[in-house]
Amino acid sequence: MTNVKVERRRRSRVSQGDIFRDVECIEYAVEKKGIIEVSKIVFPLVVVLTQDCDLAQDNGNRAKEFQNATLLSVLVAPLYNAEQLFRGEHLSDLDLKTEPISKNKTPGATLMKNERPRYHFIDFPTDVPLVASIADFKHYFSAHVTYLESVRKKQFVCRLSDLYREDLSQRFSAYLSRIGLP
Amino acid sequence: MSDLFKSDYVTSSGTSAQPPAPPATSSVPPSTASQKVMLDPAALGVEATRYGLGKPARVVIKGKITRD
Repeated sequence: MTNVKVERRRRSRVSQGDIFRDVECIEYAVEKKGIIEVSKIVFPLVVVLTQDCDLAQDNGNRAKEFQNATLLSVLVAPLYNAEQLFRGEHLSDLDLKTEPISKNKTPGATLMKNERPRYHFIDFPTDVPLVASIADFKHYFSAHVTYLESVRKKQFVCRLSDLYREDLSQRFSAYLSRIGLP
Repeated sequence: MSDLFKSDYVTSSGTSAQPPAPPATSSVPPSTASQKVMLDPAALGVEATRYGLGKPARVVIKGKITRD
């Protein structure tokens, strides 16, 4: 059962809550003896977490005399296929195995109710071409602003509606600022 | 302008690989001998492509740098 609303139309800039497909994250780039080696991870889906006011100011700032509000990078979190994550297989192509989570028991139920701080479960409406997905806040990474701008037209999928993107943003902030007590 | 960078896609295991594949399409169940079922995605209102089916994948690119 869907728990979000989305907007399908692309805006004129990158916005918070935007969902992009096939986004690259550079692991490393090394040069040795004239040979360059670049390793990157391609994520099928990511969601933009950076505050929308920062993105708006960055977009309007570049042509000005002073670029005070320019962003260097945008924070995104990967969206994993929910079924694969529950089976612990969503990172198998990266040679990583995670503990399965039983959907029908308490751990899975609390995750799907967005009561687990690390994860954000999104069940998209049926008219949206996205499978049920889970954002993993622990795996957030940054993508350069110009890179996202360059892929925006072809790889934008949809955007979470205002209230739902703020829910995502607030949960991410809470996760990031959590205090681990001994 | 000369090419400054020539590359081949190489997977982490060292074998050649294609760049990331396009999104998977939904599969239509095959018809059986006793029952023929024709499913028209358009009639069902289902888009042919659904994103997010795949998993994150690592791509390693190696190339020789040429400098002018």
